[in-house]
Amino acid sequence: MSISFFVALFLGAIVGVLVKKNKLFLKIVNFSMNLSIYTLLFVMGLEIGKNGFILENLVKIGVESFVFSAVLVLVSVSLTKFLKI
Amino acid sequence: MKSMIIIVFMLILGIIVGRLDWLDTEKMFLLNVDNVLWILLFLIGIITFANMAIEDLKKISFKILLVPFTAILGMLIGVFFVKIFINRSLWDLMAVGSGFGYYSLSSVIIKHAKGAELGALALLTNIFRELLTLIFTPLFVKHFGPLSPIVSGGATSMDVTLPMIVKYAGVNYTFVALINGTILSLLVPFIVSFFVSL
Repeated sequence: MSISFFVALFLGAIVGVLVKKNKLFLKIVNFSMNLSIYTLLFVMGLEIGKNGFILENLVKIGVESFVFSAVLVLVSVSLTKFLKI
Repeated sequence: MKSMIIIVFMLILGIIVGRLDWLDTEKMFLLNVDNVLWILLFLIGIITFANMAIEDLKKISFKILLVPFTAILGMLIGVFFVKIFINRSLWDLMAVGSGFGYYSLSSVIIKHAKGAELGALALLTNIFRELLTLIFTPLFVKHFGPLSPIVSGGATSMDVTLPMIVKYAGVNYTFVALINGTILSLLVPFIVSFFVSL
């Protein structure tokens, strides 16, 4: 994560404090966030699609790496059942 | 379920469009992951601070450190299960698992130390970890609670997976996700280097 992301978060925090009571503005922000999430997913897919190295290796070791990550994710989320903070 | 379908659809659509080279990503501002993330983090900052009270910030205690600890524990236990399916050295698998989604850095370290094949495995495994977190966040929150996508996202909980965490777990978990992601990102080079040296 580059420092510019923290700057973006900080700028957003300042705006957030200033617009606390403006319901309409927050609705627009909420809508924009949903839209941006789907844009992010599309752009991530785009980068994977454009990356020949990823696609080439996906054929070779795709199953192995998928099983690996699926097991890690499953074990990790199962442990959070016991986690209280 | 509906949101998961949209998530998968957007990802696959992106992969198809990217593969067919229909869009010139260099020319359009919004077709760059970093630019979209910049906008998203700005919006997350607004949503979080507009909906949070100072009292909520005071509730954050040292117990928050249990979240990255759970992610590390999950990786260690998970790798023992992975060893059943994948016939590779335990230390190599530990090195791949300890990328915690930080694929750019972990795959480079592993590639230099152990060769291109294990480096590619690290790259893909950590990309899949990020994608699985993005796709299944709604399901994880519903069945395992709001901390589950944070632990699953690992190092990415402070950037790429943060918007999904905030959307489905709630703004109260923004700081937990940021702290978890920061700690794991800082630990990744040390843990990966340690395991590749064994």
